[in-house]
Amino acid sequence: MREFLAFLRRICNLLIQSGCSSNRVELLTQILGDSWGYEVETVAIPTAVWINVRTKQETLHELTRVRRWSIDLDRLARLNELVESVRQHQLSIGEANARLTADEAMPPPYGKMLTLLAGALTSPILIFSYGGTPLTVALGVPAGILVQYLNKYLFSSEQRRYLGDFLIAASMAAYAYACRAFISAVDAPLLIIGGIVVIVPGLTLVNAVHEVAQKNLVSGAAKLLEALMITASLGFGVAFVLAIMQIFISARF
Amino acid sequence: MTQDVSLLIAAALLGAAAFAIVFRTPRRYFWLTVLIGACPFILIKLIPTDWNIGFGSFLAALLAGCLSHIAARVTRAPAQCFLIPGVILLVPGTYIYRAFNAALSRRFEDAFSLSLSAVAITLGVSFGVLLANWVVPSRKAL
Repeated sequence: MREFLAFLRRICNLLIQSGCSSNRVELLTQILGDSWGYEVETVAIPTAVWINVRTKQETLHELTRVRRWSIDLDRLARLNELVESVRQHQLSIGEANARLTADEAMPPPYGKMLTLLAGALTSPILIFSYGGTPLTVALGVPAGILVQYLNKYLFSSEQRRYLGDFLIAASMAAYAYACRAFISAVDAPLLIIGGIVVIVPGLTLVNAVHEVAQKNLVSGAAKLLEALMITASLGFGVAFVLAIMQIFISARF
Repeated sequence: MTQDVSLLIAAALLGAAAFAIVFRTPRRYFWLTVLIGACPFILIKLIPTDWNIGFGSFLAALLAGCLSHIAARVTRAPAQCFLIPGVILLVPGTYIYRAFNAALSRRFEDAFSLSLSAVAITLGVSFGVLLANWVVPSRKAL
């Protein structure tokens, strides 16, 4: 039973880290518990998971703290296969734990260059979809690479998360207005939006409403607050560059 | 017109492919994810502009959700693998940013109007995905 609980703790942590919604994590632990003859109750929120495993003789509790999370669909698919195997008793809990350890060491499915290239594509496509001119769309390519590099590799640490968002938005605004200083036809606000929209928490907001609609109020509220914090960091980053530009322009003229 | 539609389809496919890589979609489902991800983007661009913005997002999210659940049933993978790269192109990131920017520039009327549009799109996308869960129910927990 202790081994089963330890497995649940690890898999719940990894699922939340990979972007799985709280209600799915809760449902999954319950299904796993049913298949192994335990009564399992779980409360999952974006930053922690509480698990309670019960039999007639014994009750055990476990808490796991989730310190970072992003969307990793490849890991989610692998965890899904693992859970299915455990549910159908094709793997023992010990084997499943060993698979989890091996899984944690696996490299991402796409290399750094391909990820940067994909990032380079997202911004111009979004600028195109907002009706940008071919010039602004073309300038979106370096913007996409810059945002993707800063977001995925330079500011990926949890301690620098909101500071990272602030700095990314500030560098994007500086890049957009520098482009406009050289080529007046550039639509700077559109270039900024196209660049940072990848990290604007639209998906977090949609997930938050989705959680609230499924009566996961705490989880939904936490995600709403996260969306608000990220939006504020991005907005202040752009506003910071605009304020500096205003000071610079008024001092010059 | 034909050129516009081809350009739109190309942009939708490229956008879905880019987000599929950014969100680390499993390699074996890559092309299926790209095809499913492009459909809601094409649909929302083909919806007349005088339609309610939230309703358009709802229809596109419903399409993305239904296609994702069908793909999940066929491939036995989590529906999220197919859903997220499709839905990300619908979320109101630009409205959220523009609203915040307008508020910072003290254009409160614009900020309010843009925020309402963001809320309408968010609700449309969320309820589209929720309804898709009912129309094509999930086969598994994830």
